[in-house]
Amino acid sequence: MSYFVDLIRRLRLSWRWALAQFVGVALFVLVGLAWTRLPEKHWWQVALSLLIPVLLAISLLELQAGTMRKLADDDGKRVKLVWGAATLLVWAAMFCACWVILDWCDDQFSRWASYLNSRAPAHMRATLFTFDHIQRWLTILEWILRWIIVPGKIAPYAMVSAEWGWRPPWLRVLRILWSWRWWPAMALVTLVGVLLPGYLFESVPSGSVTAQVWRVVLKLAASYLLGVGCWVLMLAWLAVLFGRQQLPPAEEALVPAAVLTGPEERSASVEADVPPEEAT
Amino acid sequence: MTAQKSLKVPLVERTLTVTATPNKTKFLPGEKGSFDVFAADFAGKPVEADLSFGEVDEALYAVRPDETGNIVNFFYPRREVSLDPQTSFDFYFFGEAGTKSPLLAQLANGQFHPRLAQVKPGSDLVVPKVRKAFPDTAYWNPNVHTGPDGHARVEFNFPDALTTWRTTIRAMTDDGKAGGVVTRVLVRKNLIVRLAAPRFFRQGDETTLRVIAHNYLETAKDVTFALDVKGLEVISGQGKIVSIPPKGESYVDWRVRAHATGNAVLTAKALTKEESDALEMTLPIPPFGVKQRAAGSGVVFSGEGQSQWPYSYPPGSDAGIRGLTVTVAPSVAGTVFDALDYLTSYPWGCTEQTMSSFLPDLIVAQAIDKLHIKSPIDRIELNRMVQAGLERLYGFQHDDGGWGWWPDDPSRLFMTAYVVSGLGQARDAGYKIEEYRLQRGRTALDKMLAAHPEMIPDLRAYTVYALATTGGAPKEALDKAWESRDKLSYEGLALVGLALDAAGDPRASEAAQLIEKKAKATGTDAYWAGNYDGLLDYWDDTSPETTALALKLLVRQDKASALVPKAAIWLGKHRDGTYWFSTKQTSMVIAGLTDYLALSGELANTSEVEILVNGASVGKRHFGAGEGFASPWRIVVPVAQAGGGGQVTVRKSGNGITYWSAENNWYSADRKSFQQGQLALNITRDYYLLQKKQATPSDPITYDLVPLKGAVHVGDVLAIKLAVGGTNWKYLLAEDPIPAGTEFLDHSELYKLNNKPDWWGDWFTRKEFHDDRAAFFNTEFNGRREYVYLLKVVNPGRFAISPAQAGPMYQSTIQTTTDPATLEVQP
Repeated sequence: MSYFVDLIRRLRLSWRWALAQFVGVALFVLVGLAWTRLPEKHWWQVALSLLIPVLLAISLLELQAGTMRKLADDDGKRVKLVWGAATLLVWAAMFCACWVILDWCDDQFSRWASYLNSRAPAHMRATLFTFDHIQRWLTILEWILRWIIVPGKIAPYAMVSAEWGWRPPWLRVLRILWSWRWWPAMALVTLVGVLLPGYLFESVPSGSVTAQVWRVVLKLAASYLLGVGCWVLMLAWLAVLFGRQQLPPAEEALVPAAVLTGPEERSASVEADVPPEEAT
Repeated sequence: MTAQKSLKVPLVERTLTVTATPNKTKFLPGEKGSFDVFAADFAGKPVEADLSFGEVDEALYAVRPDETGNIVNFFYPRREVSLDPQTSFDFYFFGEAGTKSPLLAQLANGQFHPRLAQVKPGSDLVVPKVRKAFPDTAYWNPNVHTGPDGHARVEFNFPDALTTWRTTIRAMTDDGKAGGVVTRVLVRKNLIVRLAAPRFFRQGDETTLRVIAHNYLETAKDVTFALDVKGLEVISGQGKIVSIPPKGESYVDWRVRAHATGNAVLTAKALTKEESDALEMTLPIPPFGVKQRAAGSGVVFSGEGQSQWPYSYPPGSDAGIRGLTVTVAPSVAGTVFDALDYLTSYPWGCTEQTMSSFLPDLIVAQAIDKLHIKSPIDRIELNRMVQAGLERLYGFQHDDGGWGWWPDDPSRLFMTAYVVSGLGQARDAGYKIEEYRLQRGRTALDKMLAAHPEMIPDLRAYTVYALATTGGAPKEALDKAWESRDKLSYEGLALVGLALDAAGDPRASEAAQLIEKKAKATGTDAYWAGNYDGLLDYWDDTSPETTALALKLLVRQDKASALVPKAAIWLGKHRDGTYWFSTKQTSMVIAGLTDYLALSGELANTSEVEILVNGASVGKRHFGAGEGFASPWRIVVPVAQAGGGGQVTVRKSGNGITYWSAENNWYSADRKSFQQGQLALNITRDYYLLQKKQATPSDPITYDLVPLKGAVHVGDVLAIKLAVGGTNWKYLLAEDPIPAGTEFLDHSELYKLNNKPDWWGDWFTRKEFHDDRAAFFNTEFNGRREYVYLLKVVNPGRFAISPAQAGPMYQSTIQTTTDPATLEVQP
């Protein structure tokens, strides 16, 4: 089966979760907007304003973990969905930490560009290595790190941990990270899902107000569809690559053993999640 | 020649008719001119009037038109305004802080030595008078008085410039009649020599000097061209005889190179048998590179002893322009005199630096007078400095009564308080100040105190101190400052103590006791530590300033404290060479030490001091008991003896304390050897050529901005981009030396650029163009600033461009520089 056919197959099998991504994320956004308008006059409103973000976060993690597990169902589920979702919290935190570091870097770019520019030879400084050029390069580098490298590094770990918990097959993850099929795909979905929506809003508004409102609504919808669609495609492609990795016997032997040596009731539940062909 | 003009104003009876009749219509350079000035009322009746008489080069008005306006309109405007005679002779000067144009500076010496070496014995060529004095103002007298006959005579010698001189007279009578007249006379010759040369040379420059002669005689002349050069090496060119037709001109070129620093004296001559002309110009040759310095200071206590100070020069520095100076003073007073020189010669003139340039002199002179000791301070020079400084500060005062760093930036609390305090001290020292300006400043301080209840405690303390010492501070302000004493630095605590002392408040004694407890004392000295300047809001070592203010408080509140002499010794010991790290700290320390000197009347004990450099004696001196207030002993060590480095030894015997300081300096363009904090502060300088674009003659002229690569030509316009980057700084100064042979273009907006880059802008608090450099000031610096200015290429040659440099003005150890550059200019 070719990679592309496999991708289609997985998307077809997981169409409910994929649809849930489109609906769910939109719902979360709407609930989030409503949350920002929630008054805090009464105690129950305060409680609600504290509870909603927690519920939103849990729901989002469950949604993502469920989608990942369904797309990558080759190996069966080694942990419960709730634990898989919980592991995503760690990766999300790591992702946020990376973004905070990148935000800090972003604040320093002017300094760094100025310094690098001052170190360049005189003629190059005025032509190729100008302050503006260096700042632009640093901004592009930051964008690549922010939207391609950091998600591209974290997503494989997140996907396997959503399925395997904290005893995932690390070597398979590493193979994906070294795979030439992963990074171009990651770059492609980022360009379509992140960069393209940005371009949609670059044109100068014209026409009647009604026309402009409709244009914005359509652009927002298109951006949303592109963004979520690319996210789902990225997860599906990751699942394809993950499913193609051949496990070495030693790793295959080691990984499930750790899970199966857990408490009796947990082992039972895990076994229940394992597809029949793997259980044999 | 008579010029007369009736002023068409409705107040005819208030208008004077003034005439100025010169004894000749045309003058020769240096010739004595005599003007008959006549004032009459509207009926033609002679009147006694007070006049100002000014004779200024007409060309100057092309650069800056006379905006003073009609005196009658000023005093009798259509709208009613209050009479304000102080502004009737408005005096502006911008970007001047002790600098003079090179030619004007030479004139100050008043020497006049025509050189005739090139005229061989027996020559029948007319020997010219060498023209060398070219001031812009030939004569200025604000105190001319016409007699009962309405006449006054004004006489003066014209300078050597061949130009039209504009005579401007403004007159006023006791009964309020006003009038004025502008007239012109010509100073000219029939044979004129000119010299096309840069304003200055920089060490290493090579340029073509062009001697140009104009023949306005009736017939063609064989003109002998000559150029005497001192201080430059002549590469090519020699005297020639060239035939010039009537009304014609011709030139001869000389190629010269500037090897040594100092001054170049150029004497250009055009000689004929009928009339000759000669012109002398003295042009400075500053060193190439960035000036660097290292300094040390110390004390040798009573008895026999010695101090040693190692010094060195980086290998790449030019050995010919290294310096080593050692200064020795037998008392604290000597260290004060030493520092005064630093303040008066500081090259920049913001509000603080202007005030610091003359106020300490004034305070010291006053203290010495009170002690009835002969002062080494030149009173005439001091008065001149005080007047110039006060004028400048008056010009800097803002509409709200406050002062900022410059005339056109927002008012600042510290600056206002500093000037208010300084004006008060000047008044107390007997100088006549414009009292209303002081009062407006005080009002501005009151408003700022009310508007900023949560201001930095130290700043509040200084503001209250300024108010308290110049007429009283509100009690609630004193109380608030005292209540926040736990939040104050030692400097702030001392300031509050001084404010309370000035107000006669008994809490001043409590403040002094608190200050005494905070001192860090040893057996010989004592100081108060400070690492943050709350007045200017930056972090640096402020211990000298803090110690000086603490000393000032103790002198007032606890004269007998053992900390008083110890603090004075510490200050004498902890200098950065001859001064205390910055103009502000130095000014504050001098004020503190002067109070101490006034208290102690410090006399020097006898001592014998010998200075040795690398073991060899360079001077020996005996200090007597009466030399406590004498000027310090300064030794400039010969370059050969200083060598490439070594050790200075100050050896002393006798009972006195010896305060010494030493400084070595050098110039270097190797930024690796001195550039610091490149990520925290960096600077770049890029040259661009403005390439003219005009498809057809009817099209507007536009310019493309092209990075400069290779040679340029005379007439080209260059754009210089200076970019400073780094972290956040305060009071940043960027200096960019320009190549000799170029001139600043003031109006960059006249050059329309195609594709103007984003960085093309003016982001500075103040910009100054001097003969040899551009300077940009930024009160606040947040990451990056880009400055742009234009230069026109004027002289051919090969010009060295010293590195540009930037750094915070009050943190002298932080500095960043660019690489050096070279500009090749083809004719």
